[in-house]
Amino acid sequence: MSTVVLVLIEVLLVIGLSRLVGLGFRWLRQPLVIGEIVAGIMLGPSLFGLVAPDLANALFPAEAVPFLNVLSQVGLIFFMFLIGLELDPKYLSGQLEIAVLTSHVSIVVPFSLGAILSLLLYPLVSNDAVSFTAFALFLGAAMSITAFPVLARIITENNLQGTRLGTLALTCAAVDDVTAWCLLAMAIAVTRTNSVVGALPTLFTSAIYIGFMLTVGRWFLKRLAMHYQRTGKLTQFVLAGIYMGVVASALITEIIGIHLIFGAFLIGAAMPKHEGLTRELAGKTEDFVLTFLLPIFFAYSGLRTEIGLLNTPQLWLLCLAVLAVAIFGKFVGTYVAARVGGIRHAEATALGWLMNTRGLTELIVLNIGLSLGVISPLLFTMLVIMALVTTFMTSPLLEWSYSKDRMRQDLIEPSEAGLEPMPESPTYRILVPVANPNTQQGLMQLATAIAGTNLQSAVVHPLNLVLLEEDYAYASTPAEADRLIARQQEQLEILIESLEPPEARQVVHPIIRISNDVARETLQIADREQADLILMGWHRPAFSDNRLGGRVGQILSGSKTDVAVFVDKQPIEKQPIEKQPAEKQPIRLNKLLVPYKSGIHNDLGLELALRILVNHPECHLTVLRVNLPNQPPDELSYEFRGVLSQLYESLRDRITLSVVESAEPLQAVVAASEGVDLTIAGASREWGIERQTLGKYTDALAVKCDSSLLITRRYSQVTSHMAAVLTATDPASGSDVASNNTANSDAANNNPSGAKL
Amino acid sequence: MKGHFHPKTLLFYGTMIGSVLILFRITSAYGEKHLKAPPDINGRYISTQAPPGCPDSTRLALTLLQSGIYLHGAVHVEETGAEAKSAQDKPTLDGRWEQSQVVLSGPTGAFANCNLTAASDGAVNREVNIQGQINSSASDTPATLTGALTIADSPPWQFSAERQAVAQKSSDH
Repeated sequence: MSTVVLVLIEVLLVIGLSRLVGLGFRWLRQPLVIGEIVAGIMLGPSLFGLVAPDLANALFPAEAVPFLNVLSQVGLIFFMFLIGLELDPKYLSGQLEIAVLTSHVSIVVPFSLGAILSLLLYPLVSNDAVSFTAFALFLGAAMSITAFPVLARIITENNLQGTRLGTLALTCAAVDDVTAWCLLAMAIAVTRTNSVVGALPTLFTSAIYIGFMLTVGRWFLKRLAMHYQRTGKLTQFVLAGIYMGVVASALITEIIGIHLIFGAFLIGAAMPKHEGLTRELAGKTEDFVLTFLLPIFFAYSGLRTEIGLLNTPQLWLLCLAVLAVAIFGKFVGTYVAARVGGIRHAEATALGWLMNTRGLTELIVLNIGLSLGVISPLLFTMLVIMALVTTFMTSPLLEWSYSKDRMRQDLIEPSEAGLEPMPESPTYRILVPVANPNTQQGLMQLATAIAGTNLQSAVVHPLNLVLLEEDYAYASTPAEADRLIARQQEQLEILIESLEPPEARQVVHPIIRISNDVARETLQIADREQADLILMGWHRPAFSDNRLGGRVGQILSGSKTDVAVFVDKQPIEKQPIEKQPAEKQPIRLNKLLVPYKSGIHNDLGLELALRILVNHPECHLTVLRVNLPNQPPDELSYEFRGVLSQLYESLRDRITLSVVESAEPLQAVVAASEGVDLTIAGASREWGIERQTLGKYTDALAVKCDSSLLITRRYSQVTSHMAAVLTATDPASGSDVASNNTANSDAANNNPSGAKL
Repeated sequence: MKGHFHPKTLLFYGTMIGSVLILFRITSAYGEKHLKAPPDINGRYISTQAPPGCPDSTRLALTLLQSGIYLHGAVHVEETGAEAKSAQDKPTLDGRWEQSQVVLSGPTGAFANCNLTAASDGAVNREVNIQGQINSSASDTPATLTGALTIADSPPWQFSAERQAVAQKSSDH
């Protein structure tokens, strides 16, 4: 097999396995990149070579490794370029002086501990080709790394970028990162010349080059950005020039004596930030680098990681010592510095765990060390294990030590600027997942209709989740995430302003968050906010025609809160293009139809209908019962009649009970839905909406119904949407009519399974 | 960043950085003077004679992988002058560098084709034990490993092996 073919097969394996394992780790709520690193290790002698040595030897022979090396170095160069692009000076200056202080201490302590640890390790795991100074310097630098990219993503995914903890952590990590790279540069220079004094010319030259890039280079790149503004496009010509610049810069730093990656990082850092140019550049570069080249780097690193080398208890003890020093140094250093600076215990703990993340950056440093011969394969493996463990423990420990709600309370700016403050303790909450604010006006109107302004203290939360699917994309950096959130906020505000009547707008309080799993996050938020109802629109999912499939289906399957799905069929009048945004008439809610058969889902539908009835004085409700032929007629249950009698008179007057006999309940409902504004049906078999064995719902009624349709499904045993309705007073008469059957009202209110009609 | 120019802050930073530097100098001075790491004995060692029971044209090739005092190795029986193939066979021997001695032991299938004096029980893998000293006197003569190789229960075979001129690992990254 020719080498090229072999390398390509290896690339295929590497990319496929990386994605697979990465997904697995995503499912464990860990960063995707950890999965990719583990995939690389699995392909090496630690797993693949152990389990099937002959196959591993055939697929990854020694001749192919140098080619993988070249590919991985190219990937690394461009990856460092991307990292430099993301490094925003605003992180470095930091709003809080305490951040810079903490970050410096969080380098000094692990570095010193690392240097002391090298006293132990040097005679054991090094050889005399490496001077002690180089070894100690390297180990110190390896201990003091914090992975800024991984940290930034963890912060964004947990929606912390607006909180004090988040900004603190980002600043600390950014300063840490830059300082650690400088330490690494020094370590490399010292290693190559094997003495500190010999390294001085190298360091001096590097300092000059850095200065040059940050002044002249920056000036030039700014002109480039201006040129981009004018032309509005990033041509391939300019792109070629920039890529050449990246490679040239990398070569220069390599020649100077520090590593290739610094040059690439430097030119990325020198690019002007927040420009369209940078965004487009990142977009064009990252897909190929992150999906193709970077996993090759991980595989190359994995081929050099031999967990099998740790085959005695003594070695594992040594590994544990390295891990302990690393964790202790970072965590304690950060914690103490933060506390001294006045940060609360909980925040300082969280900050300590966040700074402990070593991840990908550590791996880059270790590979350089191994290639230079400063660290041996054994120590390399131990440090890789340390990097993985410290990164793996960050997310869980963060959640454990600092509950997310408390973090949200520390928001630096209130996210609801300009809207009315939330009522003190809303008693009724509706969560409305809104994917695209422009098209969800009908949904929002319905939500406010159900919530109502006068019935009780109610609140409607339109929930907009910004989906971050790509890990490590430019779009998932905190700065970009903030931009996306701000944009969604604007759109939501436009939507809210268009709601009628104006009083309805007060009950609306948007929630906007970053998420990478919309269904899961929606359910979690519903749980946390103690929502009484999730009201969502239907989506047509990509691979099927079922309106209740896809995301809607996921929420329906996993929800613990009552759910209502709105299928909007009101015709959209043709709008003249000038009208911005498209102004829809508020949906008509004058005639409601509730097909009724005894069952919990239909009950929910009826409860919601009654709420709308109370909130809209012109509304009329028809309750339709369908009797199958040859069956005894379905009697209205005792409780239902009891509820009816409790409603105040003008409300009762607007309810019509009608009965139809038909063998096809579904057809009867469809016929009745003509001329009605909204049909509210429970998710039950009679109306053609039932849950099949695999959890999918049939949506026959949704397809055939003439009017807009609201499908209701009850999950919660205790939520009552009716409580406020039962005690409502007639606004016209002002008298409390509910005292008619006090016994009944007690029974109904105390009924733990909700209104059992 | 004007807060950084308070005398107190400057003093703090100065003390912190100063103490780290001093700590590092002390540590590295101590380390350079007192700590000795084992010499670099990585490489392939080819014996000067054929192993016992093996054809005369063969030689013993011992690959040593070193991580400080922890050694791993692999043995092969190869034709003289054969190219270094299968350089990445899993090292099956483990050992340490103790008191300037190389001590390695472990199973190997390298002697499958040799006639060994010990009762041939048909086993492919045999336990081998290697003990020896590395002599790297002059810088231009290759280092030599002098020692004894014991296969299973047979009497030890004294041998001397020369380190192959290591094709200098081009400083790859």
